[in-house]
Amino acid sequence: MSFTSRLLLSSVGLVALTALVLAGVADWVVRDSLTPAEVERQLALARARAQDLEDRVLGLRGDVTMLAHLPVAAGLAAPDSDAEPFEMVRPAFQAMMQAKPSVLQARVIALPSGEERLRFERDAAGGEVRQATALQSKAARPYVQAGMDLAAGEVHLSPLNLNREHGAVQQPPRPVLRAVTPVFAGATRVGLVVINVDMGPALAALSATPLGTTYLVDEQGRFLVHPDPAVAFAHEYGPGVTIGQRWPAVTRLTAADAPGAAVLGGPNDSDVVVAAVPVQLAGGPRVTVVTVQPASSIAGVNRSRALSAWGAAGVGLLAALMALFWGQRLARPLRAMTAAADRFPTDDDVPLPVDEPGEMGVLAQALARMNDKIQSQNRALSEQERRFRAVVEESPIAKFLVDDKHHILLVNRRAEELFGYSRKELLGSSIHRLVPEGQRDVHPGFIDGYHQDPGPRPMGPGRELFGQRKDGALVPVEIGLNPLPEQGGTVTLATVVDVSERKGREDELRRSNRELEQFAYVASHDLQEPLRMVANYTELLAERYQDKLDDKAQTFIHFASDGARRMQRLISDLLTYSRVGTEGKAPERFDPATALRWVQQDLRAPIAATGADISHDALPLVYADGTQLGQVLQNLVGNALKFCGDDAPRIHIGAAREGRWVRFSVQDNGIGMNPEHTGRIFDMFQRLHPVGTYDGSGIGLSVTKRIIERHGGRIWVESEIGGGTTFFFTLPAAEDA
Amino acid sequence: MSRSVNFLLVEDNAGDAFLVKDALENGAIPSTVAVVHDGAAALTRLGDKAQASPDLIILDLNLPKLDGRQVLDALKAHPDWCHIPVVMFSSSDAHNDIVECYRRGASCYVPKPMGLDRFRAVIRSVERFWLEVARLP
Repeated sequence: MSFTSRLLLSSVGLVALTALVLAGVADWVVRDSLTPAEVERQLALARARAQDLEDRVLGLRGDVTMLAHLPVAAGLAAPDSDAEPFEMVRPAFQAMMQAKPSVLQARVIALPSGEERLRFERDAAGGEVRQATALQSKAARPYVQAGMDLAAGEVHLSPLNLNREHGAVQQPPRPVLRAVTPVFAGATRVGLVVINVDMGPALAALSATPLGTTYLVDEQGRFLVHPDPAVAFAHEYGPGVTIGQRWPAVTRLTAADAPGAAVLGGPNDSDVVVAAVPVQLAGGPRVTVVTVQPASSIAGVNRSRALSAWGAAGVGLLAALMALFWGQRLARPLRAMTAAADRFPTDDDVPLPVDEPGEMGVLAQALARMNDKIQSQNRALSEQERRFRAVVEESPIAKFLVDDKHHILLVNRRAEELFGYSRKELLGSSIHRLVPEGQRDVHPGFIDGYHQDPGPRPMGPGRELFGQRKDGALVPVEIGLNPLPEQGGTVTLATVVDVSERKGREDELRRSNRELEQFAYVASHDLQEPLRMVANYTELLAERYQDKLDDKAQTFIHFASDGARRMQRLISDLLTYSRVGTEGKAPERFDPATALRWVQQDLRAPIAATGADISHDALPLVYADGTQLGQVLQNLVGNALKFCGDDAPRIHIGAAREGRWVRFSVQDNGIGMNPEHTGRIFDMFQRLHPVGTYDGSGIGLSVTKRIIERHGGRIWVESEIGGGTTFFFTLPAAEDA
Repeated sequence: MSRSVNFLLVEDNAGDAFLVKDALENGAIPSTVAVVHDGAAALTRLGDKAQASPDLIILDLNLPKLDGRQVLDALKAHPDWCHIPVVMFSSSDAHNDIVECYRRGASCYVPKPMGLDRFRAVIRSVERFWLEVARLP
């Protein structure tokens, strides 16, 4: 939903809600306080009308009982011959009728015959009262029947209906009420006094009100008073109309026995206040006064509702217009900024509303700065990427990025050169094509195995690896693998180094070493032969010609022999040195104690001569050529015996585990040496002492070092002049630690 | 032993040949030492019916024409010579050389020692062993 429509909806909604709440409050106030008061007033009005009607009827009762108190019975008892039997009462009848214009007729009826005996009637036109001459029998009239049961002083009132002349309703219609009371002679009911009263003025007074409408209905709900003359007393002419038929809602009030009032929906959908008060006319019919008035308070409410609605509509329209205006006003720069941000980062001149007042302008400026920042970062990033690309691309090591489906994702220039494929051929193709044909079947298994436990490592450790070039040639390679975790899998960086040159160099070095050893062997062997000749024949000369040579000649011969002997020693040591490589056996599990026993056996003469004490730790098994280990111990123990001081030598052979290695030490209490010299004593023919002081050619430690290094170990020495010497060397352990 | 023992010494080094011959002929046992200076000459001499067959052959390893190994092979392949003990006498004490000679059927291998005294002592030991301890065919 757009910003504008949301603004529009919320402002219009707010206005509507406010209007509704206000209308509701007004409604509640009216219904809670104004309406009950109005209903109460209406009920009071109806009561007053009812009281008025009742009062009039009470007056009627007074008139008829007054006539009955006159000596009417005497008139009735008078014989037929009496020309004027009601002489005594006539003036009173006449006077009463003249005083009460609403009384239309007054008559005396004899009982039980029902014969009319006296009648006064008012002239319809002039209102003049005169005594009627033609008397009738009224025995059949309901009021005569009702009068026969009345006690003395009781009054019977007939229903209110229209006066009839000879069975037809008199015109203009005139509502009448008959009041009947008995006349007694002693205990005998001898007659009835009956007056007919015109109820027209009373009913007219009932409806004569400036406010609202008043209805009078009889017990059946038929209209006795109605503003429409055709409706009042309609039942006298035909079927009639009841108030219940006209206005069903009102029956709950008119049917009740007690006065009641309420606000009802009127006949024209307008609310009206209705009050109904039943009146039981004493000794007569029950009627109900119904007053109806428009509910002025409700009308007020309706008016205020209408006003509120219009007002709300007006304010709502205003709010909608403002929302549209501000929505558009705010949305326009926002749209511009959105369109611009979609093109970020860009060098183009994107229209950002930076001059917009308020927060919009600030936001636009921030966006412009953001664009600049992203651009400069992008530039820095692409520069950096260019450098990294160059580093990878120009690397002398072939690089491949391979996904977990074994497809090549990236190669560098060296990779193309090494395998003879173009980049286009390599990218997306399987890495297996670079593997020698015979191994392509097993290679996927290796890769999957690697993915089980990826980590940086060399590939195929201890094996010679080959790659196959496009032309089919095999290249010896070394391969390093590095997993690079990425989203959705792992890619592997494989670095491939062409080791053909190095392999060639290694082979060359091995060959040259072998040749050198061969040379040393042959040379020393071939040197020995003539030297032996020199030595042997010098000795033979000295032996055979001893008596013919003078002392000087003897001395010369001695020098020659001595030189020859030292040369022999050197050659023999050289031979020993060269044999370390040519005649060494493959290392196997070996007990150093055995070698030590051989040494003690071989050196038993010097040990005895020096009185040396040789001790040793428990010596763990090692992987070694036993003969050569013997040589090492013999050289070191021999040195310790040779370079002893004045005290008897004490020599200790120690051993300690150091990971996969056993570190041996040969410690003596001899003359020691300057620590400065400890570095060069392992060099060939290095001697720290002048010829003649200590026997030896200086080859022993070189041989020792060569043997230890052939086993992969190290040898070093710690020493101080006069502080003894300790040689250390390491050999691979043959037992678990 | 009534007759003198015949040695055949195959040695190209005249100095060594002299010392060996000197040592053997001045030894306790009367012996004749025939000296040839190369392998081919050794085989020629053996094939010469005019010459007495040797009781013991002392054979150097490094020889001109045919070297000691080839001579040894020829001797051991020949029905008339294969039983003659052959003492290899060489300045090499290389392990390979020693093993090779025994494999080819040498009766013993003696490296030439340094020093005149030891040289003589070794020759005398050989002589004593083969002529006094061992029994020749």
